[in-house]
Amino acid sequence: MKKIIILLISIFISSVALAKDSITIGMKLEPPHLDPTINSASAIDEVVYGNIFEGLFQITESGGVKSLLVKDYKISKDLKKYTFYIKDNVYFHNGDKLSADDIVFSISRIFNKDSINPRKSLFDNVKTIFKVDNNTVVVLLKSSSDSLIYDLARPEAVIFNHRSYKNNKNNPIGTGPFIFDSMKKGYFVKINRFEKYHSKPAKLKSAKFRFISDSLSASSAILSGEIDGFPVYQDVMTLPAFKKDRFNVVFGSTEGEVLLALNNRHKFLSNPQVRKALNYAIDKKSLISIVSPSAKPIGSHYPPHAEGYVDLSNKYPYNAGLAKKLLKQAGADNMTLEFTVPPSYKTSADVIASYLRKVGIKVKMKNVDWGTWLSQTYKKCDYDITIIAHLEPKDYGIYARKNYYFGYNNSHYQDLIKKLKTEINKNKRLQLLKKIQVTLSDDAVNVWLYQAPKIGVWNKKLSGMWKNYPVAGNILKDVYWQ
Amino acid sequence: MFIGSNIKGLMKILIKLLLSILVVMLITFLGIEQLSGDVADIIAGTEGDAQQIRNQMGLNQSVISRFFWWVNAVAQGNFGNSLIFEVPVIDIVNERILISAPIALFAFLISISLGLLLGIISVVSNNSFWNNIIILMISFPVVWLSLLFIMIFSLSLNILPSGGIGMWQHYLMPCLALGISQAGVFARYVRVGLLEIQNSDFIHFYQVVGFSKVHVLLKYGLPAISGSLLSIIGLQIGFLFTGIVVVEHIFAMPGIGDLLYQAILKRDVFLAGYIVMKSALFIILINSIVDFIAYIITPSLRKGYNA
Repeated sequence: MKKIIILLISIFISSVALAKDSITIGMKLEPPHLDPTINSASAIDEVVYGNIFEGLFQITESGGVKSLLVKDYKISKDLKKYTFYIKDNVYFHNGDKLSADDIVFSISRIFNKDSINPRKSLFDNVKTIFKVDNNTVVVLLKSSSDSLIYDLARPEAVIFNHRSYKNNKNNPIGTGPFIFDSMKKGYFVKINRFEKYHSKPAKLKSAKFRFISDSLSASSAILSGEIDGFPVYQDVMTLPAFKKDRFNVVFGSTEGEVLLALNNRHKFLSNPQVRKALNYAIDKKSLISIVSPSAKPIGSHYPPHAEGYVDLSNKYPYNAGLAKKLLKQAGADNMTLEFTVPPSYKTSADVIASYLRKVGIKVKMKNVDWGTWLSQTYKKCDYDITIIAHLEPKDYGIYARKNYYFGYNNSHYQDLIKKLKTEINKNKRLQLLKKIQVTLSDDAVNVWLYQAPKIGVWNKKLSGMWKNYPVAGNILKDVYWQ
Repeated sequence: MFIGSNIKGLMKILIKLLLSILVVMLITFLGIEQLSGDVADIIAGTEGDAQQIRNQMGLNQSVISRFFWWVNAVAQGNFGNSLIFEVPVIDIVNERILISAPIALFAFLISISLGLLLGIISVVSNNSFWNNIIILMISFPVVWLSLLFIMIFSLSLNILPSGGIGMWQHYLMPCLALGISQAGVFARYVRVGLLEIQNSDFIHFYQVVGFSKVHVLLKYGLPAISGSLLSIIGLQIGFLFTGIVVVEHIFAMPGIGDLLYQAILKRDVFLAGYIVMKSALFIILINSIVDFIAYIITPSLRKGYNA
């Protein structure tokens, strides 16, 4: 009996000692540095957002917004004046107390003339920001807009300590639940729990982000237990290797619409008939079954999980015969299209090209890297068709931009977007959102393919990992080992 | 007289070296510049203000003026900051060389010793089995070999980490994979060299006198072909660099190869330039040393130089 008790006690002690309170998370890309306000690389956000840095608001797992550094806020009826009341128990990692000065400093830094913030254009509408007292800040807008709260929740609008901001690239100091510990460029970033956090502290004592760019290496690192999870896992082919008794393979949603963008300025593609033909020509379901089996097909620029979604995915069902007919009517049955393919879309592009060839379109493939895609396709609009995921949430406004790379110019649509910006009545807003989706689909601006899923793989004993990817981030505050 | 000509020769070598570096700089710079999109585009992404970034980074000047600014800075010992990582290129490169250097060194040692051993055995044993082994090794791409190792040692046996850095165990698989895949090529050169020489008169002579074939090949054959083997080693080091890029990627090791790949993808011209410059310098240096050793140990080469 004595022996049994000793055995039980020793088992208990060893299990307590073994209870894990740290985690190693895998990521595909390494962040160039850790300041999300001066570089668009999403790898930065995936490390720092909600862990080291926080904004006035935070995007939630379901894609909504919650207050974080503000305890309350007021919006004027004309949607032009926003007043924020800041929490008074917030400390930065270096011990400084969060002040209204930090907020004014951080937000003006986004819209200043010499700002290099990757989301600068979203804050063009801000007229000024000023401090009322130590806990109150007011933002005035040039024209009415409802998007400020959401934009303030983005990783690019996190609040810096105005005294230490210059070192944030390599020694970030924020108000988040984790303090930056160390970084080995190209290899890992380590963070530790911040004990003076303004809300409930994190459950993990420390966390490490490790960067593994090769997908096969990533899968072996997970299988061998060197890393505990890979929240944004991209290699569908290796998923069967993760057996259910050891791993959770979780399919969540993203805000990313994967689309075949059509240059509406192109000689033939400027004709809606031709664009519709392209929509009919591609079998989305079979494409999805090859490249991303868990994805949902879409028929407009709107995520299926968002409020106000209209299912238009079957508006142009696969019909090669009809596509051919439409092309012939438009005199485009012999056209040649150059297909610009950015990295990681090679397979999808091959499948799509084969569908286009089936209806008589000659397709010339052009593989480019990300830099080339950004400068030639996106900025110079020098392309015929291309494939890309638009990861930005609520980004239907891009179709109202005349100089955007789609080259879509519809004054009716531009009006809809204008109205939406100032409409506060919920039902009317939903009506407008429906019209937005239908108009885009009617005009067949692009061929919308599917909503990109977020595939996460992690150890079965891990709890609190985010299933969805509403924003670039791996928020670890509520993660713990069972 | 003798010293004078040596100094002259040394000066010649130095000037050649400087010119090579200048050419390497020019090619790297123009090579990256002609790619469309610049680092400002990549930092700004789809919604940022790339022009503002260009202004702040000094990227709004012409290619030529930026190139000369760079050459001038390098001449003064300032290699600049990485445009993407925003830290001095020297710091980041030195940190990563410490990861790549052991891979390079051990893979090199493995490839040379294994190559030499296999080459000699295949000739001495006069057995096609060993030749087939060599051909098999040449046909193993380093990628395949690496994945095979990961499958066996990390996933099945779980005795070695599948990637990363920090412990000596991390280096075993990358060094072996790279070393073995290069050993095949070297073994083939050893084999061909020994096969050619074993029919020459002096080898026959020694054999007739009564020495064993193995003894003759090792004692007289090998030194006779060492000059040509040395130049092959010089070339092999160049290939080793390519192989390092591959193994670092597969074994998730943040070494110099991985860094160069990132630098080019992100149009970080100063970083890429510094890495290419440093590797070029290294390869030139190694080849000069190899040439020099070959020159000392091979009488025929010395004759060539004098004539």
